[in-house]
Order: sequence, then C-alpha cells, then structure tokens
Amino acid sequence: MHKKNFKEKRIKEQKLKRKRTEFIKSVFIALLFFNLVMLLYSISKEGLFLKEKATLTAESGTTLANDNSEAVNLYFSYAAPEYILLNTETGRDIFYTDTDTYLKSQKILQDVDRSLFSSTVKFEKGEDIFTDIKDRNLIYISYPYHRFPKLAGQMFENPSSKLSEVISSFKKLILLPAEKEEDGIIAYIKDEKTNDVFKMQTSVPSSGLYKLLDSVKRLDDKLCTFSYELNLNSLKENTINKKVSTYLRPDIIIPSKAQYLPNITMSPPEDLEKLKLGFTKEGISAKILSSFDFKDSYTRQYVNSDNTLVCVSDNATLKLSPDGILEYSAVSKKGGVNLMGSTKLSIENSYLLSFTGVSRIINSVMPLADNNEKTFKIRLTDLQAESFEVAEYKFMFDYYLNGTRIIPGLYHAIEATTVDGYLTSMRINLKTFENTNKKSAVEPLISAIDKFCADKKTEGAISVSECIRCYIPQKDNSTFSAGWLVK
Amino acid sequence: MIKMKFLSRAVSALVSVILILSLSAFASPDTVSPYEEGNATDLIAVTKPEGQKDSTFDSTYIISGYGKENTVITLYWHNMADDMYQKIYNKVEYTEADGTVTAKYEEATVTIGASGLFMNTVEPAEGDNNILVRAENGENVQYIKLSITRYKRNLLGIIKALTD
Repeated sequence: MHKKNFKEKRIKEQKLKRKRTEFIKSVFIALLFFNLVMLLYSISKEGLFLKEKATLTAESGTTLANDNSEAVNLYFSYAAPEYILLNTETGRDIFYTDTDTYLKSQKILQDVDRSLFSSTVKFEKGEDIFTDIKDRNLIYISYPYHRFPKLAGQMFENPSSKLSEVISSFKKLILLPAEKEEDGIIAYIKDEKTNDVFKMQTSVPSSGLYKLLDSVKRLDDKLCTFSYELNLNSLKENTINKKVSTYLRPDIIIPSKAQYLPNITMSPPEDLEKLKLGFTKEGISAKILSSFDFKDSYTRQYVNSDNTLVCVSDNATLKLSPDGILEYSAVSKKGGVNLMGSTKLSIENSYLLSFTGVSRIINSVMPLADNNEKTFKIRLTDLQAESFEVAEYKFMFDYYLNGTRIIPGLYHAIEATTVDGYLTSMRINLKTFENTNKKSAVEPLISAIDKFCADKKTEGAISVSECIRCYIPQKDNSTFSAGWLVK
Repeated sequence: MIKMKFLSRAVSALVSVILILSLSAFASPDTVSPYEEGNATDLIAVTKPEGQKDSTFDSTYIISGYGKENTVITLYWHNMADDMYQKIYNKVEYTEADGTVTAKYEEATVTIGASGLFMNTVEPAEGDNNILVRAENGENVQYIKLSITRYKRNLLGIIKALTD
C-alpha cells in the first residue's frame, strides 16, 4: 500500500516536473517568437538606415577599409589642397583650409581620389574646361604640389594606376556633378607638362557635390576672377609695351574684393628654454629622440657654445638650436631612420612608406611648437621625385595659419629627404605662430606681380606662373602680414 | 646760430612747398568733362571689358589692361545730373590695433608698375554705368570710355542680359 502510494506520488512529481519544463520551454519559445517579431519590426522600420549605410559604402567608390589605414589618413591630412573654388551660375568664391566649406569638401575629394587612382577608372581626352569655366556648376581644386599619379596611386594600393598612363603630374582638378544625383562625378585633370586635359567618370555619386554647390548658390557674387577672363594671359597685340610684356598663366586667380586677414607673430617655442636640460624628462621631450631612432644607450648629448643641443650616435646627428631649427642628418643611407618597419621595400610602395614615415615624425615633433591645432595646419607644398625608378624623394612642407601659407624665410618649414625607405636628412623650423588683434588688407595682387617683374630686371616677356596667398615677414622678422608669393 | 636755425626752417618750408606742388601736379582732377579728348592714344590698352562694353550681374567688376610704366590710371563715372565724369571712390576697411574697424573711401587710382599691367575694381550700380578711364604719364593724357551694364539677378535681368 505504502509502495503504491509512493509510486503514484513519484508519477505525479514527474508529471509536475514535465509540466514545469514544458512551461519553461513554452516561455522560451514565446520569448524567441517575441524576439523574432521585434527583429522583423526593427528591420522593416529601420530599413532606411541600413539602406543609407549601403549607400555610404557605394559612395566611397571602393572599400571603406582604406578609411582606417593610417597611411591614407596621414596622406589626406598633409597632402591636401591649398584651396578649393566653388563656381555656380550665380556665385564664385575661394575657400581656404580654415573654412567650413573646405572641410565639407574633403570627404568628396577623398572619395574622388580613391576612384581616380583605382584601376577601373575610364578616361578620354576632354575640352579645356580650365580656361572656360563660365557659369557652370563645378568645384575647382588647386594642390600646392605636383601630384604624380604613379606615386599617389600607391596610397590607394594601386601603384600602376591607369591615370599614370596619360598624366605625368597635375596640380589642378575640376569636378562637375552628373545630371542625375546618383551618377558619378565627372573629373577633369590637366597635365602640368603637356596641358592635355582628360575627362573621367568617377564612381562617386554627384549628390554630395550638389549639396556643396547649393551652399554657394546663395552667394550672389563672383568674388574672384581668372586671369584669362581679364585677357591678361596673352597680350598678343601688345603695341604699347614693346620692352616688357607680362603674361599671367590663365589659371591665376585674382580676388575682386579686398581680403582682410589678421597679422600674425612668430616666435621660437617656449619649451626651448629648457634646451640646456637636454632630451630628458625635465627638458625637451625625449619622444623626439626616439622618433629619430636615437637609442639612449648609444646617444651622446651636449650643448655647444651657441647653445645648440646636439645628439650624436654612431649613425646620425640631431641638432636643436634655441631659435627652433631642428636638423637631422644621417652618416649614411642605412644609418638613417628606417621608415619601412618590417615591410619589404619595393618601388611600388616606397612613396607610401616614405611619406607615411616622414608624416609620423612630423606628428611626434610638432607638439613641441605648441600651435593652436584648430587654426594651424601643416601641408605638403612641394615634392621632388628624381625618377620613378629610384626610391628617392624630397618632401617639403609649410605651415598654414588662417588658411594662408606662411613663408618664414628662404627654406620651407619642413624639408625631408628619403632614400630607399630611410630618412637621410630632415630640417624642421619649429616656431609658434599666433594671431594678433590687428587685421590688415592682403597686399593687392598686382603690387606683388609688379615687385616680381621689377626683380627680374629683364627686357622681354615675363611669365607669371603662380600666385600664392601667404604670410610674409615684416622688417622685424617676427610679425607677418598677408601678401602674395609670385613665381 | 640763429641764422643757421632760420636757414634750416626756410629750407624745410621750401621742401614742403615743392612737395605739395608736386603732389598736386600728379593728382588727377575730381571731375572731367565728357568732351575732353586727351593728347595721347598709346599710354594704355584695356583688355577687360573687351570692346569697351560689357554686362555683369556681379557687384564688383575688374577693369584691366596694360600700359606704360608709371602711368597713373584714374576711374570716373558719368553723372547724368551735371553731365560730368566724377572720380570714383572705393570703400576700404582698416582695422586698428585694438580691433576696431574703420572704413575710408579711397579714389580708384592705380599706377602701372614694372609688370606693365593694371587692374582696378569698380562697384557698378544697377543699370548702365558709363565709366571713363583717364591715363596720365607726364604731359600725356589718354581717355577711354567704357560702358558696363549691371543687371539684377532675376528673370527680367537674365532676359535683358541675354538679349543685350
């Protein structure tokens, strides 16, 4: 009897247990079902968001993986345009590096770069739109240095870019939106040597460019003029000045209204007062030493009679003077800073590795100058490549404040020479720049051209090939006001 | 000693008079009659506006060209009220050391330098603007009459510009 009761009790317990399990299972399935419903709901509701993401990937033209690449970021940061010009039916204006419009344009330009230097880009000979802009909706981009497609292609892992087959180098680029917003932006490039113009269809949708141009459509004025629009690019019937004929390159831009910029001051970085303490914790940041591959155990430091801090190793010398001149020189090529890391150097990655390595050094040294990161910029302004068969490059950088290049003296602010992936020499003019309260009108362009012609002292044709808005030192050499560098 | 002081004052006074006289000799007249013809035709050539006539929608217009070095170029606009050309003054802003901005009006005069080129900006009013370019080099004076029409940026203005 007792046994039977026990059995019944056990069966009951088992049934109860099964019921509980079934209940838990049901709850779990209900939860899963609820989750599924929520997931389906969110997909249907946020489908637009997912679609946007997909568009973003397509907009970039290639994979977004490149965005995370340190090399590409450094390239876009240092090798950026000097200015952009936006032209519409109603307005035209120049935007320098310190303006919102310039910054907004960068995403488009970076995507266009990826597309231009890709292996799939298609091109054909185009009309010379560079001397016939008129009222077209377009963006005109001016780079301060020669862009060699063979080298720039390396940045986008495409050293043998198709563009290099037709163009040796270019400094100007025009982008036009296609008729339909979703169609690719049309790019025009002019070869600096041959003046041949090529037209290319990029894979970057025109929508971004339309948005950018809309911001200028509100402008009701053309605030600058090209020299060809003033017919100053060819004085064919110059019967008046038989002695002197000055010709302006057609793409020289002349402001229509006076521009006003703050005067600036230049001084050696404050931290250089600690120069006598050497590269130590208390003195000048030792990070600078390590960025030039100086190892503590092999380095000798001393301050010489003119208060210059000198660091010597078996392979190289680094000098830092009280006026902020930092000079590095290697004893031999292989004694220089290794810019390759563990990557094997080839002619197809040498520019990428050299540029990235030099940019990294600039990044680690420049905090010493303590400039305002918002207004102060460093840009590649000149590039010398001996031949595309040899991995030898000379990079020249300059400082920009208020979107305007600073010309501190005879040399560029930064000059670096690399050979076969090694940094062999580098000179950095470390200076702190600050805006003053005083604003002055930028010197009239024609005055600067007159000075340039007077210095030439030649009888006959004088060709003006470039006019760069820049800060020029005053007599005291520490105050700068805005004017023009004419070449 | 007194004689020396007197002499130095006399010399400085003479220099000042000469300077003032020379400055007034170079200064262009404030008004020019439309019937003035000048005595030269080879001091300057205007490259923009081509054919001495142009139209624009913009608030500023650059008049450009080339000419003999040291030629002084002054721009005048035609005042219908008294049928005289009056000197054009452009607004120029100056910022003082304390940051305050002051505006001054400066005459639209440029002197041709070593490049032999000139550019001078005018701010045309809406409608027809008859402008006179006066070029002076020593005793030689040249006049060039220009016509710049500024249209309003509206449908009517665009139609007018197209039919012009």
